[in-house]
Amino acid sequence: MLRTILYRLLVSIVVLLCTITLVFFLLHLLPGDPINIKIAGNPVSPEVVAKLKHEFGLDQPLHKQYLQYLGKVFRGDFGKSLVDNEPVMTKLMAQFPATLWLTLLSMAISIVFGVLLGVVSAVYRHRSLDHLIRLLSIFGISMPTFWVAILLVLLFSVNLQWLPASGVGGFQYLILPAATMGIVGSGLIARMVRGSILEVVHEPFVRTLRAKGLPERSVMYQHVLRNALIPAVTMMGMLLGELLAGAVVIESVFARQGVGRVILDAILAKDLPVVQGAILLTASIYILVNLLVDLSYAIIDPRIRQA
Amino acid sequence: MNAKRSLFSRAMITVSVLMIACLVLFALVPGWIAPYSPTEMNGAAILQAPGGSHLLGTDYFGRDILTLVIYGSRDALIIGISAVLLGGGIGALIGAIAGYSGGFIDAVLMRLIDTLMTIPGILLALTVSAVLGPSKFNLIIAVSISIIPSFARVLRGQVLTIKNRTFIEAARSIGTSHLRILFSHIAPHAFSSLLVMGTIGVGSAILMGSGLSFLGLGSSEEIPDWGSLLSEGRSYISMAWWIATFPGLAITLLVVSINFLGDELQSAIGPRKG
Repeated sequence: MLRTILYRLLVSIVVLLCTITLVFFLLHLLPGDPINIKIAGNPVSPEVVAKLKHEFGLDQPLHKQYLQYLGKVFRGDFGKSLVDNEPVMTKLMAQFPATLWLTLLSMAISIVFGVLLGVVSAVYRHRSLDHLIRLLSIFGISMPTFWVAILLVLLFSVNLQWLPASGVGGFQYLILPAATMGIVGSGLIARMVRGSILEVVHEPFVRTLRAKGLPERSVMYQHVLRNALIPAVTMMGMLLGELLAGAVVIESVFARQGVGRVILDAILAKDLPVVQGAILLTASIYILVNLLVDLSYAIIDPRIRQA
Repeated sequence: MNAKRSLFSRAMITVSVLMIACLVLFALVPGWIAPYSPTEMNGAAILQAPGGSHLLGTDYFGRDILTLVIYGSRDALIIGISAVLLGGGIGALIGAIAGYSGGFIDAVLMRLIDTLMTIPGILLALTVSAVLGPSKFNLIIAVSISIIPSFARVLRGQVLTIKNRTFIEAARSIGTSHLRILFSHIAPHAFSSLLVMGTIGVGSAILMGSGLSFLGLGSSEEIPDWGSLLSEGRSYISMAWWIATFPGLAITLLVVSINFLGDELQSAIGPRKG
């Protein structure tokens, strides 16, 4: 068990290092000199440009910049924004709670509706209710999130005027964005849960349970479900990543604050340190969650613990 | 194999195929079907509601929405299909090589794929298209890169299960080259799962492509694609609901049809499901 944990931890660190490297070099391929963004087209003397380059370490050769960046990242320093000089870490941490709440609420919506629909669909398999749920969940994963967002705004903000269309503030500002992402997430989870249950139903141990005369109800809810929900745990990790990334689009549609919004603005303004920092933040969360998922597997499923 | 397909499945397959055929036809010969020219701006008919001479209404420039939706199918299909051919092809190749070689090469390639996976698809595509600049071609590359990992993982898994079978050993023992084993003996077995992934991949590539162009990272050509049309519609949402609604509906119907066919293909090749 300890060996498994250590091994997973090591792999996660290696992957995180690779991600830092990839993002660093990818962003340094960006056309245009970051200093031009800094001076924003103002006429400045070459001395000022040289001084700024020195300040941001841009006068160093690329490999030195890389090593310096690596060193800083491990001390929790993501550098400063080229646009407003604010430390990237401060900027991200100020925005992170908004994104976290949005992600958690949409995750909760996805899990509640997704698992419910998935289970109902599998219990009533190949009947009308199952067909209906399958169709709904296909729509759920096929609709562009920004379109769902616009439709919800049309219905609840423009026509009914129940909820605000955009902005930040109390809970009522969170409902539409979270519902938008929840619709997609529910579709994803429902399909996954249905598929997973239908796979377990065909396993020999279920036939044995039925053969010994156990009522279908307890076969389903006590035995099949327990086993079927194990793979769904992996799905939760992936879902979290999807939702965090989906926040980029959703926060922009609803003009919300958040990490996604920061990323988009930074990408459009070519504010390298911010883009770098934000991607690394998202990637680290993703890696951490997947590490936890992997480890929780070992706790939930004894077969994996022994392997 | 499964029991007979249900009536529901058969009906849905028909609807999906018809829908896709329709949109492919739109993409091939938009000029024959669209009622107006996509660049025609009618100053007398700005933000007209659906009905009358403009079935789906007009946008802020007086362009016919139905016409723009018909023309937009071309970009959507081009982006979806080329991203899957490019990204799926590269991903499948990486996965096949990793699975077949094993050992060190496998470890290096799969850590590379793991790295790509830590950056969620849309974020990766967003960054890549920002690096490359907005254009249709760069959009395709950005979307392709984000679908490499899933293809690589599945193909690697497939190759791992096939490569130790006796017929591969037989091929190897008579001196068949690695390349030949990979392409003529292993590849055909992976074809069906590639087909399923490719189908579903086209759907998600279309979604991602339209998302990127909705965010302003698509091509800025004269004829807008569905994503940028939606983005225009968002600005006029309280005045003209139709501008954003219909292109979104087009994306949804296309992707739903593709995903449904993907599901049915999956259940046709995987007898355990369903």
